[in-house]
Amino acid sequence: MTEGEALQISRKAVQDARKRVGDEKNALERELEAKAGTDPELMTAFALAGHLILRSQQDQKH
Amino acid sequence: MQTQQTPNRAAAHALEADPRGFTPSSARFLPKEAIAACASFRDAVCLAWEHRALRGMTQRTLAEKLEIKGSHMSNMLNREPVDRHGKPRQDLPARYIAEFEREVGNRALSQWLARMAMLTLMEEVITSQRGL
Repeated sequence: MTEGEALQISRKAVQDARKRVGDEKNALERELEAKAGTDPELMTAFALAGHLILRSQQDQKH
Repeated sequence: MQTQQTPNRAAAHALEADPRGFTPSSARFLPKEAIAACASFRDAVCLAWEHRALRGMTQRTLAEKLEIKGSHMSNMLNREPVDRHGKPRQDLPARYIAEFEREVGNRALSQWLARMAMLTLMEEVITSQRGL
């Protein structure tokens, strides 16, 4: 999985979860945690996306 | 605080299979409540260090293994993001995450990164949808 694919998978999961439970953040968070807990691909995608976001934040500091 | 072997089997497998090599398969996962309590990457680094598998491992040993200067390692493992002069402390560079996790023997950083990405993308999606 590339980092681009990871972002795409992660965003889609959030959009799908939002369709199911709406914009309430706690409900959305619970829904996504449950989904990631049973979907290995999504868990990998979130971890890779997090790595990418962190790198981007650290690059901006330098 | 207790550690757990995995948050669940599927999630654990996913993180172990990651191509960036975040992980040793024997690494422990920390409870999700502990990860959620970390407000920053620095907090997650400190949490991971506090729960290192080898309790006798010193900061100096870790610095040597990661080939980071001891003084830099000390700054990276300090909970306070700024020093007594108000100067920001350096964070653990992202490129060291895989090796750091191997040395401390837990997956707290990967767990925190996954959660951070989830929350960041949640905000992004909610904001963009409201803007339509």
